[in-house]
Amino acid sequence: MIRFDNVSKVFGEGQTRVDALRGLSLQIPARQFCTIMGPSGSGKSTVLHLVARLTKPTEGEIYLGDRPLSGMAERDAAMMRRREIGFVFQFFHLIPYLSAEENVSLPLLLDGLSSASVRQQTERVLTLVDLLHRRRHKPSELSGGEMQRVAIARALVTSPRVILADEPTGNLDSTASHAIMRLLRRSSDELGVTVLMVTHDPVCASYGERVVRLMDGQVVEDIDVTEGASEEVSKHVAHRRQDG
Amino acid sequence: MATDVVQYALLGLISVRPEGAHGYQLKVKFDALYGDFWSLNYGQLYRTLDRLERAGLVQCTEEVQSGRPSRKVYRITASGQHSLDDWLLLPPTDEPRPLRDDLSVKLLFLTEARREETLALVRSQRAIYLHHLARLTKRRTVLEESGQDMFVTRLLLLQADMRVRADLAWLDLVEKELLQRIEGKKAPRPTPPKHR
Ligand SMILES: Nc1ncnc2c1ncn2[C@@H]1O[C@H](COP(=O)(O)OP(=O)(O)O)[C@@H](O)[C@H]1O
Ligand SMILES: [Mg+2]
Repeated sequence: MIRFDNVSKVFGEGQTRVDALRGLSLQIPARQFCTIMGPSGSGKSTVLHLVARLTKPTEGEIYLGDRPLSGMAERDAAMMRRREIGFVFQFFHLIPYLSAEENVSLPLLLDGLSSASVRQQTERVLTLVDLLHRRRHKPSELSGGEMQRVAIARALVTSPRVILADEPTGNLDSTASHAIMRLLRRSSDELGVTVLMVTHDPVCASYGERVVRLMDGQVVEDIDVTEGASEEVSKHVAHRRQDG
Repeated sequence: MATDVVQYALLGLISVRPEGAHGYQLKVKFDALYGDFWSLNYGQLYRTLDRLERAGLVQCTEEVQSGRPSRKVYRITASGQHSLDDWLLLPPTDEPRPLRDDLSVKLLFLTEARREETLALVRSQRAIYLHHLARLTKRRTVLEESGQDMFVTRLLLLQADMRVRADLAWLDLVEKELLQRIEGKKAPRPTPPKHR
């Protein structure tokens, strides 16, 4: 579970002060596939960075499981990032001179796993993203959609509890986007990973079960998009009408 | 425009003229507002006005004009005002299709005093669209995993995607403009730097 408890994040000061998040509270249960939407500059990426402890909140606390993150030592934070969190970015962030397989296995090598288990885990996730046959290719020899699938394999290889994806389909066409979304959906359904994804594309958002909309660093909408939730909306609206 | 939307559009136009409005005026006003998008002929106009009168939502009086045939003048009744208010706050539509017609008429008559309700209206509409998209997405996934040949279905699903995407993008814009109007004379927030 990920929990934001009244989190504010301020960048800069005085003239250049930016309130990226203003008193954000949010709970994301384990295994949920949750999407964050909102205009540019509304604080979406900041939310992901805070979960990974790449930055610390100005106020409030963030919990991963039941651990508060702000007091965590830098070394522990780095270990947590490596073992428990998988990242997927808009521009893939693959290492250009390494093959798909080498890119994917990197997090395991950094963690000092035996070469047998490195090979086994790498094959497992490359199979999952259906790219085992392209394992020896360099990123430049792959399409955008394939590069992003490699990035997802790399994110999954350590069997993380959480995947943080920042506009993972921002540079992909609609067919490739659907493939990426199905992979994230499966990661949540079959591997029990909690997925927190930022996207501008409502079609991508519809793969998740929840859409949180940010504006000016605050949650303005929190929408359950699963089946049966429609009636909830109508009920809510009907209720509001009765109130006045 | 669906019949009931035309009905409420006219009711709205009548409601802002306490002194009463006659058919020709309503037609001119309707055309000025919607002419680029919807055509309303006199037949439809008078049929709709008759229906409103029979339902007791407007009251019609004959106005005698010197040297010219008398004409009918319409005024909104208390029950008409009530019905209009109710309709304005109803979620625009459960089915994503006729959103533009429906929401644009509501936006026109929801006054400044009801800005929060207006914003809530736009937001509940967004939620309905996202549910619709989620259903489409499930169908697509099921179809793809079934391995059937889904040439036409896939094209239809793509069209539905594109339509909902466009409608949602439009809702984002409506929301943004509404917020700008609400913030109105308040000092504008500095625009955030480009997306990072
Ligand atoms: N490292 C930083 N230094 C200064 N300002 C930042 C930094 N990171 C983000 N911001 C500002 O915080 C706000 C939110 O940024 P961000 O979370 O990246 O928004 P989003 O991802 O929704 O576009 C923006 O105004 C942005 O300029
Ligand atoms: Mg961002």
